[in-house]
Amino acid sequence: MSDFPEKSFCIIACDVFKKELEERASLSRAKSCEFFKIGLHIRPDELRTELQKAIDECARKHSPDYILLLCGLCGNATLGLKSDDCELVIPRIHDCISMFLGSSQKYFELKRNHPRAYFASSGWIDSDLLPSQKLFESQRKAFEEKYPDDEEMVDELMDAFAEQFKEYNTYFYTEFSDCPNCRLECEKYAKFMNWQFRQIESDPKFFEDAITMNWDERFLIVPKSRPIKRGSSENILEA
Amino acid sequence: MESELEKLTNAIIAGKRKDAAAATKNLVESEKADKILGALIAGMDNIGRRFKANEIFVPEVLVAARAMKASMEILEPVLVAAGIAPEHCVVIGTVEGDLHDIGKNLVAMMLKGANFKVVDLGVNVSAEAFADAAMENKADIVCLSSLLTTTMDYMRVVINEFKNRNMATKIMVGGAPVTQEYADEIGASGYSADATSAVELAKKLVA
Repeated sequence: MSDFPEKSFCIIACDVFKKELEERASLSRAKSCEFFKIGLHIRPDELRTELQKAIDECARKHSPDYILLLCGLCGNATLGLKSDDCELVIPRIHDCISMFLGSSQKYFELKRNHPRAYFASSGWIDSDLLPSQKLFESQRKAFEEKYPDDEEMVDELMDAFAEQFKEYNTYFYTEFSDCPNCRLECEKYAKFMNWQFRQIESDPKFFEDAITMNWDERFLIVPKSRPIKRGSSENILEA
Repeated sequence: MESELEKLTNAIIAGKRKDAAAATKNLVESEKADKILGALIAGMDNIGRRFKANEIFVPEVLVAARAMKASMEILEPVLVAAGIAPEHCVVIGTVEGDLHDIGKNLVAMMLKGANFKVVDLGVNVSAEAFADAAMENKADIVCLSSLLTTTMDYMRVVINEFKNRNMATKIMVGGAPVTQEYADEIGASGYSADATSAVELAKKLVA
């Protein structure tokens, strides 16, 4: 049951949640849903610009009471976002993993116990950005195009590319979308990387509360014209 | 005609380990050590700036760092033999919970190039390990790195560990989500946004 029965809202979501959202479209009475590109958290300034543009456009097009941002702090990309036309709502999370696990607390607990975990979900599998044979092959191709006459350099770059993942030892796969193939893919990725594979329990409640406007203290509601700011380590975000 | 110093800088920029080593071998015969270090720093500075501008990517930074390392391995014994021993010691590491080390490695390499003794504790380093290493090595500065918003708060834990032990070691912080404002909030001695300014800051802190 929504906490905001008379109010309208739109969703701007990361691609990572596409499958999960599509499967639950009937639960939500959002006026619209726009997606933004997965993986942009590594270039937070670029992501911030994209998101601000999407917020302004969504407010102009749909005039909702609220825009729900289905993402987290994402490398500080959401800091500074605001709307002069409606209120923003954003879960108080660092990134999508907390959403998949059901809370930030579960995420921190898991990270504490398994610092060498590399997280995956169906959305991440679809992105082709996870360390895998596919990613290594496409990276090699890109280097070969950039350094066409220098195989030694390509080998060296590939060795450096692999070095980025040397500290990880386990793929932690989580899902609450219906994608048996994604799990199989992730198992293949783990084998290629010579890591272990573990499926961890997910909890869709947090996600479902987000898209059905059950916005309690786990969510930050940002008044009009106020920017999203970094909060304390418990609150994560504030306005 | 490219000078040998330019050759060295360009080998670093191109990430050519063997060329960097060859140029360094030639240079140690004829050139002053500070000039050679300057050529290395110029190469890595170029890499750092282009990485920040998204012109090059992580693997290209890593191969440049490897080229600089190959050069430093030749240069270090020469510096020692010439009595140019590092005057100051830096302990560096990525904080607990965080496995990212590219930025940290770059800063470590640049500090070595600026003739600091660098004790690299690696990744996922606890507050106790930072404080123990700082004491053991009589470090002048401790550098904390973090790439994640989930781990940057651990920097505060490290700073508190030093306070609890009454250690006055200077603490520098850096990493993608870290800002000057955050550094001030947690009581760090300084913040730098990239490897080049980290070296400037370290020099200032020991001056």
